[in-house]
Amino acid sequence: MMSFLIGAYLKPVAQTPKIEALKKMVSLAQDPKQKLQALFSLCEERFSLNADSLFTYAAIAKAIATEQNNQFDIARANYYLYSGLLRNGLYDSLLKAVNTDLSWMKKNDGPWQLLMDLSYLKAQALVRSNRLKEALSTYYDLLHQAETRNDLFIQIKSKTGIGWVNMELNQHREAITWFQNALSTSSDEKLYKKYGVLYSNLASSYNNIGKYDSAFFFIRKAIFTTKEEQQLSYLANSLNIEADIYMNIKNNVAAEQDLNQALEIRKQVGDPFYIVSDLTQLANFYAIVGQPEKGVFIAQQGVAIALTHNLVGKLPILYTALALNYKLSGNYLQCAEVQEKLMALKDSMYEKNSAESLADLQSKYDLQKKENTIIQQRLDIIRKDYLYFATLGIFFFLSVIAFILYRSYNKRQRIKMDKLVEEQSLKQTIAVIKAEEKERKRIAADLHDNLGAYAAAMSANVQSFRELQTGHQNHPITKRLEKNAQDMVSELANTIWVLKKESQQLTEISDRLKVWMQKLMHNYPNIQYDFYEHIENDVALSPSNALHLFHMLQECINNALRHSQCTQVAVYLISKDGWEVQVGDNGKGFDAQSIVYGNGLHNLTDRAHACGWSLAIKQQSAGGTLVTISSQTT
Amino acid sequence: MFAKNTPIKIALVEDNWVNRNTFFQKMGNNEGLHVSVEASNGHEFLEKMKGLPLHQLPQVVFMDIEMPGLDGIETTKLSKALYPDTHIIVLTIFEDNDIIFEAIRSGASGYLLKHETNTTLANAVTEVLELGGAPMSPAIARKTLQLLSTNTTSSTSPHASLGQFLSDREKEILKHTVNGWDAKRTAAQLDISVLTVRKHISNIYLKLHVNSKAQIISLAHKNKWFS
Repeated sequence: MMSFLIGAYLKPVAQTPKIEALKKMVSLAQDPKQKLQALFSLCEERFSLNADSLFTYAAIAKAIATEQNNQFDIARANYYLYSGLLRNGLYDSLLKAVNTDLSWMKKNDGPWQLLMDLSYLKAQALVRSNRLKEALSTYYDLLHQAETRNDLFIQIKSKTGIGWVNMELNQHREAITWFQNALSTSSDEKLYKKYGVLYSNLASSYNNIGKYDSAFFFIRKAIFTTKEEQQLSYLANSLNIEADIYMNIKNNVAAEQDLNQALEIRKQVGDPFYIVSDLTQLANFYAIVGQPEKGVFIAQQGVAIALTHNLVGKLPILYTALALNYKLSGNYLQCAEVQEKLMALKDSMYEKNSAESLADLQSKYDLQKKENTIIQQRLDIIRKDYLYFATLGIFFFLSVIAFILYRSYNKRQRIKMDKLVEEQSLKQTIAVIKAEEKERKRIAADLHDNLGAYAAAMSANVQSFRELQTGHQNHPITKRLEKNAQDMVSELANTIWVLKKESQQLTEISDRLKVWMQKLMHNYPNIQYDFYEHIENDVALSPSNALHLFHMLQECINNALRHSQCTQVAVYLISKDGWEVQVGDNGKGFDAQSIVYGNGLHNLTDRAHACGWSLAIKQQSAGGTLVTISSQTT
Repeated sequence: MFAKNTPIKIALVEDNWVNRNTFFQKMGNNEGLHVSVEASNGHEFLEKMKGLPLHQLPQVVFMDIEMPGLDGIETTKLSKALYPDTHIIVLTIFEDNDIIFEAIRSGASGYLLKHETNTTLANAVTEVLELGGAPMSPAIARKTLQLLSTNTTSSTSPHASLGQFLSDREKEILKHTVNGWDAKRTAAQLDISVLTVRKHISNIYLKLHVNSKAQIISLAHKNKWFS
């Protein structure tokens, strides 16, 4: 896959119109000399030709020059071959060869222009192989000679070269000075049109010092110039620089456009050195805009091309870009591996030109080493974090489950406890009721067994005493004693009667009243008594209320029997939702205004009030009195 | 009231000695009555009854209801099973109609309050012996009628046929008794004699007596009360 991509990048897609025209000239050339000159013109378009084409044309030119036995033409052909070497990164071979030719040219007083071209080529090779001091020396020499010969173009190129070396040394302000110097060398625009790289270098230096407006000014000049002159390599360079400026002003869309356009041009030209540079820049771009996956892919392509074409000098920036993108995409392991490779390059790379550069490299190395350690530590931390968070997550999940189970258990326990409390309360209530009933029965039993027995005994004794015919049997005291004894027994019986049960039904009160009346009526043989019952709901009364009602009815009946002079007494019991008891007689009735409230009536009123009942005493229209006791108050 | 040469044999079963003394004091003045058996509880009574020859058995037993050990109800059941000709009148300080009704169902022929006069006690003996039972109280009559209405609706009750045993006249008498009428008034209302009313009530008493004879005889054998 990578070989295909490399092939794709290095296969020239199309040449410039100028190149096409020059190729036609070559093919149409009539003789070798003409052909040679056409070839030289074609080779002169070396910045738009790919290296293989350049080699081919240069080799043909050398062959023709050799046939011609023209040493200077051979040297010129060599110059274009060496340009090919430069394009392919074969700097050592280039320098060796160019030094030989320069030495011969100097000895043989070769053409000054060719001498300068070769020297300039040498200086480029030195810069590209990072032999900046030598390159600087060469540029200074060129400048000197150009100034001596008043060759403005060479001066411009030399000054540009010196500025370029300063750029490589990150001395951008110094570089700008030299570039500006180069700009001011001549007023002839045509010279600068031939050398658009000056504008692009100037733009790059302004960009590096953050003067983006100046940078844009010059890079647009560079793009315009190189486009017009069909200098594809310089155009691609300019586009890359403009992309860099765009990135600095956060216009990533425009930057990506320029970068891709530059890469297309590089593909068109097929220069691996610049292709790798462009790929590095694109990889860094993707790192910045947050697309590290793309950055990794691009950087990997650059590394493959650099390794294939032995562009060792490009590997550090490529590895740096690759490591950055790995880090940003979270591939810390791979990032660490790339950092290791970068460290290994340290020994093979050294700063020849300044102690500062070496210190910078050292600090870069130390920084990279520290970053690697940090990345490794972060990797360990992340692993620990995963374990920690996983443990925390499981713990949290278990805690939630435990909490839910605990709440459920608590809820069940609460319900259970509430139920137990309710049961306990109910049991206590029942126990209290049972205890009260037991106590009531105990009291009743005690009354029955003890007081009742003695009361009955006393009553019997009094009766026996009366029967003894002592002469006192009819004494009022004796009679009163007998009555008191009977009343005591009777009241005791009533008390035991209500104590024995929790409540008394209305019918039980009625039946008891009947028995009492049966005995009482023996004293009133001329009075008829009747009981009428209409009981749909046999209401239960509390013991005290039952006793109250019983006594109230006794009082009413006694009143009727004793005071009303009646011949009939009737008791009515009606019970449905509430109850009502009436005692009526056919006696003389009473005068409401003259009624005497004796103890009996007071008792009735007090008992009714105590029980919350209504009491009504009316004179009947047919005569007689009707006493109504009702549970429903009016 | 009673012929002097044939005193009626009665018995008293009462756990409270004061009540026993009071009873004897009342009965002591009545020459026609003789207390042939005195016991402080049901077990003692049955033991004493076992040892008596037939002609010395009491004719009427005054039975206290609430006694320790064998209470009045159980003693009544056993006594009626073992000595069917001996009438039982339960004694109580107050009318607990539920217990009295149960005593009647067990075989008692009536009830009396303990503080009743000796005359009332003696009359009760006569009524029981001559008529088969003491006057029925309104409460007992009501319970009898209630039992009757319950049994007519349930054919599975052991007393399912009780309703059939009560004649229309008996039902009529019971209703008047519930209304508080005595035998005299009931007789006048129904145009029958007082004696007839009393006889009907006696029959009702007999029909109310429910005895699980097998159970009782088994208990009697267990306690060796058969003579």
